[in-house]
Amino acid sequence: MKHKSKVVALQPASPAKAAVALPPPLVAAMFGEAGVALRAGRPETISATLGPAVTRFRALARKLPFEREPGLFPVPVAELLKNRKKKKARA
Amino acid sequence: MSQDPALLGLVEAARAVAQGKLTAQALTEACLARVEAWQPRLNAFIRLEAEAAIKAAKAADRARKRGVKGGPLAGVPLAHKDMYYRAGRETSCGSAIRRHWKATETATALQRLDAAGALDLGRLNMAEFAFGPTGHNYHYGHARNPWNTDRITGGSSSGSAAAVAARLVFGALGSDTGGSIRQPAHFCGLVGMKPTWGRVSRAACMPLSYSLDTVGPLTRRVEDSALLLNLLAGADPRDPTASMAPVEDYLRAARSGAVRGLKLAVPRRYFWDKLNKPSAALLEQALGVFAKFGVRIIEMTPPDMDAITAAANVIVSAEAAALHGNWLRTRPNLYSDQVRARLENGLALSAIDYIDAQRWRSDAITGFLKAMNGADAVFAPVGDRPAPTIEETDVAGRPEAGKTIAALTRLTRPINYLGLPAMTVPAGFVRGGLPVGFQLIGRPFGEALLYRLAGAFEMKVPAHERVPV
Repeated sequence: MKHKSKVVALQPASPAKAAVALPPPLVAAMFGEAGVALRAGRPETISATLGPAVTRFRALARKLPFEREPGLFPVPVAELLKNRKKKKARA
Repeated sequence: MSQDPALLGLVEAARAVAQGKLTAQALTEACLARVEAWQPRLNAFIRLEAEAAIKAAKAADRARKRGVKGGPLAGVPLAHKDMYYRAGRETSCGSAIRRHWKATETATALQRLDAAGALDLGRLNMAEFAFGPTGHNYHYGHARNPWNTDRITGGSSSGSAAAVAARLVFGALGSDTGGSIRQPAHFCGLVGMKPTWGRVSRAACMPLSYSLDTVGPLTRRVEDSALLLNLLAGADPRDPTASMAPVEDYLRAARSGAVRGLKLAVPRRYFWDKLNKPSAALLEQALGVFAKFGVRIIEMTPPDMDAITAAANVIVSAEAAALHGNWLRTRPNLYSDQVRARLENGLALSAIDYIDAQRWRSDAITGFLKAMNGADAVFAPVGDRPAPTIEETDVAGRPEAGKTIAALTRLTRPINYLGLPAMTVPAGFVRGGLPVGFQLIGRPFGEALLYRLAGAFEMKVPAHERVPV
């Protein structure tokens, strides 16, 4: 049985938003800063392909709490330690 | 032994050598005979090291005759993706840039397999710098799927999947940054284990994205995979990110068959959205098998997987661009179009994007684990369909490349961002003889439980008994 996704699509409502996230001149400038040769059309392509994902991600990142630190497993590790303590207590 | 010894499973082959029913030399020669027959059709190997392997096999046989007890893989031929460094040997990473580069140290993963007595038949094909999900390689030739050589193997562990599926070796190391073990395993009918991030040392392996890279095995059977992970997993002073968490007995778990009462969550939303009908039918059958075992099947609503994928893309793009920055400046023409374009993407990202993608990780994983609703593992498709053709996915650096790559990795890439263990298990074959697999996604360091489920399933559905011809 096929279920229709209710997940919000990755693309922003308008292509203009993508350009806001990664405008081609900014992309070109970052290539320049990295010292990497820029091929014709690349800033526009990157802006169009990566821009929407970055826009989507930045919207999400704005909701991150101030104190949140980078990390992968703080919650599961805490769970693991808690379970170990429980086991020890039972033993 | 009447059967071609190369058709045995890895554990079976190791047992036959240990018991003296087969010599390591006979086993190696059987594999080499298959390499000779299949290599022109598959292009699985970048470099075959037949002489060295025979020499090592003879040494293993002599040692056994002297009464020296071999390791758990004594005399068993393996081969690995050409990104695992071996001191003094060329490691191309599937690239033109490193075509004749010689490593100065040996990967911990290889050291552990060597210590167990495994033989190494050579270097296997792979996507250039492990940055491609199809198996295309414009420098060394495309790898081909043994079940239908017009089809892709998947990538980036393309040669590993082709070689193991065609019975050229008993197992191979792959690596998984966005699905590069699980997806070729799905396309080639194999068991592919992507362990929890940090479960297996990445020391002296070619990096693509530190935060997402994982090392794991591709095999034909579940117990073979479990044995290899038993040997590979564990802390390593050479890799500070390798976890100190205790290693469970995966082989025992794979053989236990004890799955009654476990809970499997099925995320139909997102994961089933684009699944083709024949694959969906096979997966329903697989769920039925688990249900008959007494596994409780529950539905789950996954969090926003597109957002997770976007965050994963930010990390892989930024880290890969940083790693390749120097070559992008000095030797950009040596990259294939697609890899160069994908690496360049990372140059456009800001430090803030990257750090935020790292900061969001714990929230994302907490959200996913919560969505599992108390289940022990998640059951999901690996790909939307069986292996597509080499031709239709030959997009190189064309504008549609991004879409093709995204479509092939949409069900695997998010799991790398979450750092969770996930393994592909063969579900069977669809019309046309193409294999289809499903993935079992576990909780952090929950590999043993995945092996329990996969091992029980394989007892009922032994897809490995079918051999490509």
